[in-house]
Amino acid sequence: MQCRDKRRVELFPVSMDDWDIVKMLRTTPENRNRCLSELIKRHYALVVNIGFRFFSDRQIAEDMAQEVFLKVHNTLERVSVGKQPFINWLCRITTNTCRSWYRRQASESRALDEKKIDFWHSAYENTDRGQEDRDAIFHVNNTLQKLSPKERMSLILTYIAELPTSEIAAIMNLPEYSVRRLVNRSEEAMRKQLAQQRLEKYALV
Amino acid sequence: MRLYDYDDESEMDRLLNRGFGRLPIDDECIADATEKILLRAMKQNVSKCRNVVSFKLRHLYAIAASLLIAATAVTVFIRHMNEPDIKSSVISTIPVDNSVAVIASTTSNFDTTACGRENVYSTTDQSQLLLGIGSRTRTVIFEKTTLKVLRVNISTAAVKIDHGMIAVDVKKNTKDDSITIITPYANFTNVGTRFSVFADSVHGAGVEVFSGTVRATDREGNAYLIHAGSVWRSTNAGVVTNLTRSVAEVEHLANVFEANKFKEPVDWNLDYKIQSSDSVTKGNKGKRRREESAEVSELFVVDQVRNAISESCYTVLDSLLMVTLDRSYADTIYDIMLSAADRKHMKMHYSEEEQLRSRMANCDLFSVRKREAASAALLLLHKKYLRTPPATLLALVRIHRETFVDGTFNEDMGAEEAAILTKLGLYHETIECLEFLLKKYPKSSHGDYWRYTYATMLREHGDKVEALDAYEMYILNHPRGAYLEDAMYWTVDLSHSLRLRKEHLRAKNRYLQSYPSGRWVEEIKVSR
Repeated sequence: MQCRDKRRVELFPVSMDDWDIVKMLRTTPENRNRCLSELIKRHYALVVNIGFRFFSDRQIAEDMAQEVFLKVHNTLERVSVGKQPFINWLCRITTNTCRSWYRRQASESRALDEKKIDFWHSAYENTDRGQEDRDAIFHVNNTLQKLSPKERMSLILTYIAELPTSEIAAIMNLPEYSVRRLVNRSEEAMRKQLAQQRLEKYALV
Repeated sequence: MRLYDYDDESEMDRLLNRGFGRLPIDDECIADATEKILLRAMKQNVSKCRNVVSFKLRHLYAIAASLLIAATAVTVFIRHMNEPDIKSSVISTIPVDNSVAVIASTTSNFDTTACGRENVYSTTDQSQLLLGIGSRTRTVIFEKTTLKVLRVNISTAAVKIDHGMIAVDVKKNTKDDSITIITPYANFTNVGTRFSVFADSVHGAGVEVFSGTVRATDREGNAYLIHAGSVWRSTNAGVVTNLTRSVAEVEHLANVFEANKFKEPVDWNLDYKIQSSDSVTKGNKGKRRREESAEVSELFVVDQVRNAISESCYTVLDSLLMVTLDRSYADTIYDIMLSAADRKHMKMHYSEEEQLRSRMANCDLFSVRKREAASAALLLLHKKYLRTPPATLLALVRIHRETFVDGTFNEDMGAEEAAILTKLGLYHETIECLEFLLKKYPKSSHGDYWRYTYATMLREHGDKVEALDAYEMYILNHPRGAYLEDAMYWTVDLSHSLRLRKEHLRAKNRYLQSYPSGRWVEEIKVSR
């Protein structure tokens, strides 16, 4: 008896470009939800990470991510496909949403609550490497909150989204050399802050 | 735990890389978030569709309703033209024109004069008059009262009493304002009612409402709604009191409609028909007479506006501006008010000009563009001549921008707002305002000033880094700007204070090349 090898035909292979998904969404409206779900699956983590680094609050980051994808859903019909990498377009929406949410918030600086890190990093708790990573994230986030929103976003887009300077310049509406200078300056400030934190911590011990 | 050495770059880099690692999110969380997003997207679409459908439905209803009203109006009009007069129950008729008739009187001791375009009715201390004004209003004029009929047309009327007392009955089911009574102390407008009004120099003016609602406006322009069973009074000192019914009875204001003394009882529910002296109102003749009467009334209103402005009588002006007029007459009134405000033929104080211009800006009679122009002129008046405090001026500018969102002057008003905020030293608000303006009007002629002010505000607030970027943006966007030299100087200064050596050298060379004999050449040459 022969067994038929039923291979599931994947609607969205890994190699499929994001813009191809958008084209599919436009041409086959019945697959709209599936296309959007695929885009969310691919990029939700990135958007939440950007939001988390910016606000230092996971709940806000997740809410902000929902709003970002709603905006994506509303503008998918109108956006010019292929004009820029999808990830750049998404980061632009994310940056603008972060900015508008930031303005709504009452307080400028937030201290990171360790419990939030625990919730997110339960996987790392029991290892030495996990503990070191946890500390590093805590300190970096704490230091990020002391920077201005512009500096914060430039570092987040450089390190988290891993975008080139030219793209960051387009998103933040600054000349490229300004972005380079901003990133260098922010890194310098981060280094100083981190060193200072360490010194203070060990002075107390 | 290791102590990280600041000089150990590789350790610091490692810390940064670790600290910036992407935090994982499990699939369950992503699936949950996807579900929420899709649900919200669906709700958004549903509410959009609902809005479209309800908008379309509303449109349909509105079209159907207006067609029905139009058809009914035409039918009533035709019937009105053709129907013989069978309902008249007039005791004695002294018709003045198609709009006003004396329906009844107690004695013959009353005066009826037509002074130019005014119809004046005066009673003695022993006489009362029952007037029909238009087809919807009956008015009892009590003893020692003088009433002037200013204007009457199909749906509205305006009368004035300086002293005395009248009682007004307006036919039910009238939606729009049917009659306005003007007194020296307050104006009263009915909303389908029965009420009485008195006015004299001792007690001021007052109204008692028996049914429905009356809108009263005092001399300061404040409006009040007086409901059935209430009495309202405005004295000549401007104090307003709301009297209870018992007090009103004591003051002999009760039972007005029963207190009249006509020989035959007046049936208030009967349908009176106003007829002219030749007792024929048919077809085009009647229509033309009514049109002429309306035109005469509108010209009369225009004339009254002119008088009110020359006498600085703003209460009367307010009531005249409430009258419904054709666009051409409205434009004429606007031009009269504008020429008076511009002092073309009469002297005027700034405060009076302010009164006029604010009425021009707020009156619905005029088109949006005219109102906007008047509002802009008003703001200029406040700024230049009235010495209005900046905070008040800011509020006025914001009101203008909110009222005329897509107006012609919005860009200039935005510039004005930014300037006031800068003057007030409200840093965050100024920054937000300038960012908004630069985004909304990227090619504005004020862009030069806005960008430079933005950079300067940042610098003065101590945000040196952001200020440096802003000055660089200014230089990039305005290579021939008015503040270019200053901007270049500040880039040199800020890059020096921020210890950005390369940028400092670049900025310094740029300034020295562009302005070899500039104002700060010596200072810049010295700096290292």
